[in-house]
Amino acid sequence: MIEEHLLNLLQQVRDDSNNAARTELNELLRKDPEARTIMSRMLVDEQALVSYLRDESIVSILDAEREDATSRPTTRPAMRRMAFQQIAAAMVVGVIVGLLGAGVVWAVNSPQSQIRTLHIVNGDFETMSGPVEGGFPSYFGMWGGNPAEVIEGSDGSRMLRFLKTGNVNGDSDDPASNCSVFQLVDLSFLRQQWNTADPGSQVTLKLTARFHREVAPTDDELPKLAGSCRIYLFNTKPEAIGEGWPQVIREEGVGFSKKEIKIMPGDEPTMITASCLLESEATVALIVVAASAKYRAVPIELGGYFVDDVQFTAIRQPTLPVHYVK
Amino acid sequence: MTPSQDDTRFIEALTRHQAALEAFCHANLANREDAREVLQATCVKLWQKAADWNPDTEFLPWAFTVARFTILSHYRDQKRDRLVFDEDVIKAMADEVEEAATAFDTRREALAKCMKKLDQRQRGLLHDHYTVSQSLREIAKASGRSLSAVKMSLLRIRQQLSACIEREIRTNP
Repeated sequence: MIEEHLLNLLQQVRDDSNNAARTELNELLRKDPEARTIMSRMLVDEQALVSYLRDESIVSILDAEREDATSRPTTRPAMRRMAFQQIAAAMVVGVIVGLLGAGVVWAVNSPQSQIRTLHIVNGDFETMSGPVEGGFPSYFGMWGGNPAEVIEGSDGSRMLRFLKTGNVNGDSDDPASNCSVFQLVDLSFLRQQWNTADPGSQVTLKLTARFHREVAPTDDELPKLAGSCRIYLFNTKPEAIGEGWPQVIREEGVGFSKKEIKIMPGDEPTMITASCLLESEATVALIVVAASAKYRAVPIELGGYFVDDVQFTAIRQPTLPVHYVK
Repeated sequence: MTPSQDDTRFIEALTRHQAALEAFCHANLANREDAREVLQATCVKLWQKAADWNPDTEFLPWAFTVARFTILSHYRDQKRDRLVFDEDVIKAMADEVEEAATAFDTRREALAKCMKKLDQRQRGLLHDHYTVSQSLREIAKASGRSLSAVKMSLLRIRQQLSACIEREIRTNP
């Protein structure tokens, strides 16, 4: 099919700088009017896709802002409302300057971004086996939390299985709604490397994990079981987080984000992503993957609930999405 | 200083059609960074030439003409190995690109409906590649999949979206 061939050639030119592919692509477009029509539509659609994803991305950042603003009880400076304010300010400036006739202002929605993968120890669980350490992790780079275990799947790859809901710092039969597994991530390297206090750029943290639910005998008792990713940001020592959990969120937390998706038994594996803006004062991130029963009750067995491929990334972008041309 | 009525209409038209103009630049260059750069240069030229535009005529054909000159001038400033299309191919594709870019708003609307039909994983791949600008190699490395598997997934998603957009435009013209 000509469309597939054109896409293939375009990918080779862009990704591999393949000269032979470039020559073939140009030759094809020179000779074949149908190829020109398809290529033109394909590239216009690609731009439509970029524009759609950009808008979606801005909306999701603003949603995270709103969620964060409503979930955080302290009255710290509202830095996470900045993105919205900046866009609003840009629009106002655009209108004013436009009306004054002094120049042209327009928003450039997708400024250059840089991405860094933050190191999570055993994010793919491939070098772990058996039960995960019980209780809250007190140092960087270890998984710990409620009852969970690393098992080997039928294809030989390993994954984390959530076993039972629980209260991570309480007694084993305290009421609880989640089975959560935690890891502390040191942000000092990122702060140094990117100068996160620089007001000219903003850093978004993104926690992604693949959740999967298999059919299990207890499914009828757990109709609302959901998977979630959470990010908490703190300005404190890592060991203080476990000791003060969960009050420490209110006292030392500087940022929070959560994304939860209900998963039914037998559904296709689902990627869940939580993202939040990195506050300049944050020194430690606490990442959490969890299975939630949605209500607090005595601890319950969770059946076939799994997570794999936990990844934590940081994306830096210029703060003000506006260009001004005189 | 209060802008004249023509200035106001020019600003309105430029704002309304900027996305189509960017799509036009992208379709000629097949490179997002170059397209953004050319878009900016085009907007400046359009502003400088604003007096030449008759607000009673359509904005886009005029803006595309200005953009085409800017694209060719940008083209000649670049090294050949940075460019996807040859200059004669850009000229040969002019009518097709203009037609597709004129329909940008319709195609984007169709795309928005088609995006809802993709699953989480497919959307994630598009997001990583087109929003975060991760290369396919980086995505493959991060996800533990082979590069060819990631390339193939992206190809299939793009095909799925193309077919869906055409279907949407046919059924809801």
